[in-house]
Amino acid sequence: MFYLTTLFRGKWASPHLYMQQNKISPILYLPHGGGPLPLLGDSGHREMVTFLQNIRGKLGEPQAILIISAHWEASQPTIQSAEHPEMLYDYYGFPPETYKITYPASGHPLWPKRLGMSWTRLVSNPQWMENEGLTMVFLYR
Amino acid sequence: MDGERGFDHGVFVPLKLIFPEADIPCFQISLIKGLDPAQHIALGRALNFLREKKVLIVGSGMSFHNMRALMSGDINENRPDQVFDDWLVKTCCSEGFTPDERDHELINWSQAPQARYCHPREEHLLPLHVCYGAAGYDSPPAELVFNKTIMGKKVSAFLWT
Repeated sequence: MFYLTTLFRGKWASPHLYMQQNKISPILYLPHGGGPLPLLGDSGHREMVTFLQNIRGKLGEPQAILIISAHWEASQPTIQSAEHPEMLYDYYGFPPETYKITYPASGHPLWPKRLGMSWTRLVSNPQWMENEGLTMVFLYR
Repeated sequence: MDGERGFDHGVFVPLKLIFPEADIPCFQISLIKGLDPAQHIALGRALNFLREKKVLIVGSGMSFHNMRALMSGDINENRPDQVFDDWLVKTCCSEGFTPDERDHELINWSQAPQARYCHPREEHLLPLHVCYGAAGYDSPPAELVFNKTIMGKKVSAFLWT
């Protein structure tokens, strides 16, 4: 509940504080290529790999990364909340070493819970949703 | 919430290239079954406030995703990939749309030229709808940050700042 209070008071009830915060984070839609091929030196992905390796400077100084991947669909928008997510090798027929690739980033300790709680609250409180969270109407229709 | 879900290759492949140090916490939100474009724009709008919290939102897909065409390496003289890419770049980056018009174009993306050829199934396109929504209603147009080929097909990447 504490998270909820700070989250929503922060955004909607304190516009001055809200405006004073630092510059907003950018948003990136990117191609991830075919399976693990971009990590294997595949020539068909060379331009894409160069692009990804050089885009860092345009992405600010993020405190967390929220990523929406083409490879996860669920009946409701679902938040990954693992503390240390394992790798899901969701491709087939590639060399054995591609099933040992790791990306050891941790999950975020707070944001999944905060979002999960706020969404639950939105769903269970239609009036509040009407006032403050119009977009959620579409999600849970 | 899903405490078991791991990082799929749409997450770890690009993040290894952009943030190889892996020192920024990451988490995913799923697409919604049914792949309704308006729902995904709405999902993005509900995430807009995260921009203020220094959460970098990344949509990971591919603006061309006809696997058969990608794997065959065939060159179609009509360049359907280029035709759809032109539409997508104009839709996301042109100054000439009102917010409602841009919403309308993206919700009706399947009416765009060569749309279904480029996305027989649209799961690789819809992360773009989430990103577009997250940029906020009346956001400035996106910046085109990549517009080259992957496996011979025209592909774009977009940045909202």
